[in-house]
Amino acid sequence: MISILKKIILCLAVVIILDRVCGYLFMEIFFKNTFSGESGGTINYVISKKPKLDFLILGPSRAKHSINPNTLTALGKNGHNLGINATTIINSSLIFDLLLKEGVTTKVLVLQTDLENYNKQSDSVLLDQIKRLYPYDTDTIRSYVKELSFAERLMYQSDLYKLNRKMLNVGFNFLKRNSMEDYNGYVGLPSTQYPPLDTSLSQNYVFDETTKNWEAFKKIAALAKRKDIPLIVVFPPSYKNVFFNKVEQKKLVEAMKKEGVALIVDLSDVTKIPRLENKDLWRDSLHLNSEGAEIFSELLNNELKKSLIKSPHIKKSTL
Amino acid sequence: MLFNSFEFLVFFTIFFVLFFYTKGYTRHAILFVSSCIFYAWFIPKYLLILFLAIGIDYYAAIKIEDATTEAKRKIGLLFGVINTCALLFVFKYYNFFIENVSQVLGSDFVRWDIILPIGLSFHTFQSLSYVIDVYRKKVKPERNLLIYSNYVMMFPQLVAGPIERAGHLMPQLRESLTYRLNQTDFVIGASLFFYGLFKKVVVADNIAPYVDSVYSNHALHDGSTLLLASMLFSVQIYADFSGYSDMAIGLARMLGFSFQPNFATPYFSRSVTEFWRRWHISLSSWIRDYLYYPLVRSFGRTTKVKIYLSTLITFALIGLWHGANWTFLAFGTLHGIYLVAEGVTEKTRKSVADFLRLEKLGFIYYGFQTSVVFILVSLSFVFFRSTSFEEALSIFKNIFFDFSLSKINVLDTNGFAVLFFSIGLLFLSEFFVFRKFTVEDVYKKEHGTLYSMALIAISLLLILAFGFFGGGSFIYFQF
Repeated sequence: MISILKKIILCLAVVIILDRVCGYLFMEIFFKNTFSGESGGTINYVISKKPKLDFLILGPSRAKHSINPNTLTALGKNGHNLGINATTIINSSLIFDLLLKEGVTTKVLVLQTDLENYNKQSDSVLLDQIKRLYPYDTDTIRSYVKELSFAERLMYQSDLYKLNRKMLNVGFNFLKRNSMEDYNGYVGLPSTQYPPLDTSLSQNYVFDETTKNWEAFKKIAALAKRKDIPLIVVFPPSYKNVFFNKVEQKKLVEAMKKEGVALIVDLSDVTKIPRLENKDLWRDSLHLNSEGAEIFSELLNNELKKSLIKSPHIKKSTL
Repeated sequence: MLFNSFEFLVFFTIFFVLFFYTKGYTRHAILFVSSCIFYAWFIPKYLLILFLAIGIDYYAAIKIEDATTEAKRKIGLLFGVINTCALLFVFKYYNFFIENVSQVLGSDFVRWDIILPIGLSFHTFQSLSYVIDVYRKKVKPERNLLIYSNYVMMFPQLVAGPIERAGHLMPQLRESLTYRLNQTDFVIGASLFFYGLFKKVVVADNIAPYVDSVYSNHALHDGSTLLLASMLFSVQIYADFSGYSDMAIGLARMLGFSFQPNFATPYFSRSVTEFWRRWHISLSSWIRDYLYYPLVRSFGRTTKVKIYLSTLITFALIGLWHGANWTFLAFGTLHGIYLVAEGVTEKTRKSVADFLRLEKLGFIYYGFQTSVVFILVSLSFVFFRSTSFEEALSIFKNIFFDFSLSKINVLDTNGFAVLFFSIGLLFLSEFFVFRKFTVEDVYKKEHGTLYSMALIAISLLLILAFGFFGGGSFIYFQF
């Protein structure tokens, strides 16, 4: 038994040492020098190449593929879209916190979010959202990890686990780093041969103030307030309003107002935007194609121009 | 409790210490109680079904042994076989049977609202083989109920095999009363366990999201994507099930038990016949010994037609063993057809190969043959993976009539890169196993302990770096 125990301890020691060495080398050589890709590259790009912004856009794929910063002239010239596919508001909150800690400054924060985020079931994806940012190791991330299972907390001690399933993507994007041109983060989507589905997804959505996602939203609002960064919340539309629930949307908007949001641009009801009702402008029921995204960005810019003049929360000097 | 869960790690560590701290029947009692806890972790009340199965065959075997006449021995056998099969029928096939009878007769029989007890097909088959072997006088019946219970429900092999034979496992159970912890068994067992865990977490669970996504929206995908997903499912199910088997064999080995191998690099097979000698060996050999041979013999004088007919029946039943659904029946029957087709064309194929001197092409010809087998098996898995017969037919329609490589959809590029990397690792490791360089061979080399520990460390690091966590249960748990 003793000899077996010795071997187990030796094996674990080797695993821990290799984990630390491989994890450190990968982070220093590859990860920190990767500036594209959703395994951290796009975040690194903002930290390293665009630390002073006029405005920063955060949100999920609907932000990334629908808002072109070049079109949002109302907010300035130097904007960046840091939307990341399949993320929720928790992810946006962690990224915002991380960027500020890394010294990134922005005059305005544009947050794209949806009612679906604050639905009761949304917390089930919590782990996935936090895991995406494991390589960054901030206090806020660690505070979220503390709420996870013991097994997850144990694995979090591993440096390789923090890079779990990201290494190939990071490696590939690392190789591309020298041939990369400057970009604004927006990625237009091509159309597909399939028409968007018009089945409603939002019938049962209920705005729930007890979800972790709502907590995360409040954290963003508080942090923005503390750093004196005006927060603009944008709700984009969906095809045939599959993502829209009038009653609950209203509740959400009211709750957001109470959190001191500078401006809410609510374009979630597509019936009020006839130009976007055309199915040829949609890639699928949630995402506009590049043609639709340009129209949406223009509409958003016009709304911002109109609203910013009236908004008491945004100082003229920030714009 | 899943082998790939943190709870199991804690459970096994406590069990392991207790198991080796004790000796004799106390050790067996610990194994029994631990197996009960392990099984009850899924659905506790199904322990009663397990106990019932154990009771039936324990009693039947003793009745057979104690019988004074051949007729009484047969009654004992029938008692065991019929009751065990009835248990299987009630919990696994009743609803399927009733649905189809209702459809044929146009009446509405009542379905039972029951969930299939986990691993029922495995432990009932293990139990059945014991009764039959006692009847055939191949093994002596076990009169100690504790030892017999551990034969059926020992937790490493309880829920998804390998299906062990009494002649092989029972003597080991008796020896284990005095077995002392052994470094060789521990290191080989741990290496196997972590290699299996690597297969499950790094390979199978990384493939699963892609396959699930394509199959759940199969109508939106063209033939090329569906074929790719089906081929990936072939790798997934192999990594999942052989991973489970390796873990089970590894755990047992750590405790001093030697289980039969369940897989022998099946995707390196040059024919479907060879594939079945390498795939789920414990089931295929069980079916061969307790179903196929008796069936062939029951037809009287052996002819090729009778052999082919027996093959078809046997494989249809192998399909049904997996699940009560027409898709599984089709899966098994298709394999039966493959085997019959191979039998019928064997001479012609050999003549063509000789005429064209294909064997001289060496690796190229070998690669061609294994690729054909892989594609045929992957096509059969369309039935296995589909939830209904109609879904399978719709997928086949797209594969054969709407196939364009330009339309192939990889969904998530990063996920796909990890997936192909993990398959590459699996292929590499399987190649070593194929070239007779197994986990056991690694240990037998000079400085084998060091190599084995390196293997464990590498598996762990790969799991941390590339594993897909939260992949969930094993595919074969549903059977």
